[in-house]
Amino acid sequence: MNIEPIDYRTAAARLLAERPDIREAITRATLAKEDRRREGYADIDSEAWRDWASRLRRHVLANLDYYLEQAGRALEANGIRVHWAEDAQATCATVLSLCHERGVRRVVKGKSMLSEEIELNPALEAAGIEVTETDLGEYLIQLAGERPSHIIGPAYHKPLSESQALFAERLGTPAGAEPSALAAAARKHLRQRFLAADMMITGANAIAADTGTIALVENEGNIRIGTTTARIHVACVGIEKLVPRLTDLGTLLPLLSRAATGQRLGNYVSLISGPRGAEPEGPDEVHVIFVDNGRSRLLADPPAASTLACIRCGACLNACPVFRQTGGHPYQWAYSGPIGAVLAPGLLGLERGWTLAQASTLCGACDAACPVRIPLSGLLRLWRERAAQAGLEAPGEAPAIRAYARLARRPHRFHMATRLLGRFAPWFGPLVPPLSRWLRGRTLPLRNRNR
Amino acid sequence: MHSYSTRAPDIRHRYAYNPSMRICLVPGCLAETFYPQAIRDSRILLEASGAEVFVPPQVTCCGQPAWSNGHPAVGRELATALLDASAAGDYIVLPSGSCAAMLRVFTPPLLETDSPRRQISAKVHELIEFLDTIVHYRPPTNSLAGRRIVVHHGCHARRELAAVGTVEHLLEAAGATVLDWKLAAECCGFGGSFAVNLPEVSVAMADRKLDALPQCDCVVTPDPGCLMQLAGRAERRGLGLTIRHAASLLREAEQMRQNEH
Amino acid sequence: MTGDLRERIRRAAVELEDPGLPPPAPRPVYTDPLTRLGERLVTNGGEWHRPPDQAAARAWLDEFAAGFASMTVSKNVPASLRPALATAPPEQAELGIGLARLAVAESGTLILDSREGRKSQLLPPTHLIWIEAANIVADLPAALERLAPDLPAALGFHSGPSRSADLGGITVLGVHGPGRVIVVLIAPLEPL
Repeated sequence: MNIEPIDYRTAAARLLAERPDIREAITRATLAKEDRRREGYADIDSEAWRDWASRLRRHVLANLDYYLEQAGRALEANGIRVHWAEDAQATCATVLSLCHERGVRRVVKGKSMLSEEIELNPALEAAGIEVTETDLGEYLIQLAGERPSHIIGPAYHKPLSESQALFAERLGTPAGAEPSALAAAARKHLRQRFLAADMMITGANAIAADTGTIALVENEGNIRIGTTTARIHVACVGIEKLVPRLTDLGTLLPLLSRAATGQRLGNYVSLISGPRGAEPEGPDEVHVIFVDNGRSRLLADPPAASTLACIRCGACLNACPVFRQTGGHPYQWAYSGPIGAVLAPGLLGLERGWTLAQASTLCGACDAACPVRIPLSGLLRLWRERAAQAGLEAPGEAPAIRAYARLARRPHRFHMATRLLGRFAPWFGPLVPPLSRWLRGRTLPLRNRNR
Repeated sequence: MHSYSTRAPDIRHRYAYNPSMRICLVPGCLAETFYPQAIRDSRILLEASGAEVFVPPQVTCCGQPAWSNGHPAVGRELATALLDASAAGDYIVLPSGSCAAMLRVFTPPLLETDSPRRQISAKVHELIEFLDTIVHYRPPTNSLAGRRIVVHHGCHARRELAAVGTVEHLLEAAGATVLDWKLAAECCGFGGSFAVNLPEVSVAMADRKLDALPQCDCVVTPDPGCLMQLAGRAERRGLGLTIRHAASLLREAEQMRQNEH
Repeated sequence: MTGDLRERIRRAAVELEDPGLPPPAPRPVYTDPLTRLGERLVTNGGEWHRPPDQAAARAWLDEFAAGFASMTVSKNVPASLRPALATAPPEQAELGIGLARLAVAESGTLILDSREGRKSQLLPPTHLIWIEAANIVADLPAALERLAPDLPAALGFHSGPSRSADLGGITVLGVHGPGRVIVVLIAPLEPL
């Protein structure tokens, strides 16, 4: 089967040419969040915290079978039903059968990248179920019929004017309404959806294996409300998202919050340890679906397995100067930026995902930002190496490198060649790739100019 | 063939030097191809430290282009050949932070644990860092007085070599004012083959950097790749900026001392 | 877990290097967690009051409640801390009143227990939270250690008003949860 690789370059080039406003919005949002992250790291011993988190997450991965069993038992003991799903299709099928068995017609959702990864919304809608995203940014994206462009800020790419126009059309707000007025309109509209919902679907930031507790972090309160008003709560959770102990959340969640937005802690954290039982309010049923969808295969690949330490904070996206030009859409799947580029070949397969590993200068800004010290630039290089071994490369790259290496082994010819190239490249460059591609938007230096 | 020879007057009494020291100057492909003057300038600065400077004709490429594009075997082969060709130097100095990082930081993990080349790798320095922290070179006081300068460090020099502050230190010692740059730490978009594989994004990255520049007389960088990227984009846009290799500006300052003699 | 999945994960995990569980990460020591809680809460956009005694708290409450037409009150709040306001269902009440189980100084966080009822914590546009001085802890791990033996269906950690910056990067408050959060410190209460 011939698998088309993700064409980041073409999508990025189109976006840069046609939507300079998106580039501006993404740059502004990511630079602001990057500043906030630095501030957030500055008032803790961030190096020690990152060492701690890196070690904790790697310990979990090295004992994942143990902690999954423990978490499964503890969740069940709390009255939470646990399901296991091999892939996207099985996850959607599990949710759908829960919906059918329990007469669910209306679903509200908290922001979940896993649900984007498995394309849960289309599956539910195809079954005639009404799905409403309740995170404001995610709701905006749903109204616009788009996909999130950032792990944390699904609508970071949306200029305010677009949100205003969308809300005017869909919620009847006045043209050019202030953000506070837009938010008030969304609050009113979504509050009705919350109160009418049968089921709330969320992801999870972590699950504590010892107490069987689902941790969810947010700023708007939509997750807290949805997990209060709906009669069924379903959390779709990647198998890697465990911590051994409830107390580990005491450092992991503040670190996650600092990395994502610079906050000491997200404004709302839910720690869910069961259905309502005898309590006055809350869901009658809570379900956790542990989703594999390629993760166990990545776990079985030791050089790349540390990718699964990710806690989805989005710090590497904010730090990445490449992401900063385009946002997440040109990456063409749920995860973007450096983590998306190393997850793509891992979860989607090398043939589909290798191109994203090229979308980096290997500048290392992501390595410096990652709260769990995933060696992102090293992993980008690893996937480039595997792509090269599999014969997947930019056109002409392998022969070019071979020719270059041949030349570099012969110093005399090499020095001759640099001299000739330096002298004449500006003149013949336009005709010869890769110089012709360099000359798109740039000049070549004139060698003999006395600088 | 390329000796990058200079005739610097004897000014060794001005600062710390070790007359028996031999410095291997490795040009690096990009500087050799497009900025040979920067290599001559590097040599002048190094010779000013009083040491003997030599450029072995056998040195070619550090292997980084192959290594970072998924061909580590080729990268290792070229890096080890370069280290072997430079082994006679007490120090191995490159006017390129990126190549220096390749040889000093990225190459050892590619070598056997007991490889003698690890010791050679440990002798590698980026030029300005070497001048500032190893030989304590100082440019003539006030030689750049009144100049308002912006410094760009390549990402590998910044992160792998922790070279931030070295160029700034020398420029300030020469009386120049080093200006703040909001996006100083951001990648310029060069990234070797990235610049030609994703030219549109690469150019957008350079634009971000250039658009955030403060009013200045000159931008300097110790990295030829970044220099090519930033200068190439600035020239294409007709921004009228002066962007130079850090060695070239420091050589100009050094020249003032030499003119005094 | 299906046997197949378990076996696959076991075989993969065993090949990975296990650094072991890390010792706790270092944390700054707060000499005055009470003041720190107030500062951090205000930084997060919340309001903070520290009346000198029970009578002052009551006087403050009466004045504060005069600005509202209706309230919904958690069953954990004693009569002495309930204003004379008409009650309404949480869906309609203008003011929610609750009693925090714990507070965390380092992040300005109030920890709310679902057993007091969740809707009054979330649905009214304004939320008043009483916190006893004895229930303020320095940091989050310490709080979780105290909570672990007695976990309700849901704990809510509230560190300020509901907020979002999803609309053009401009911060708006009260998106879903309360837009105004007022925390008032009180002396230890008699057990209900």
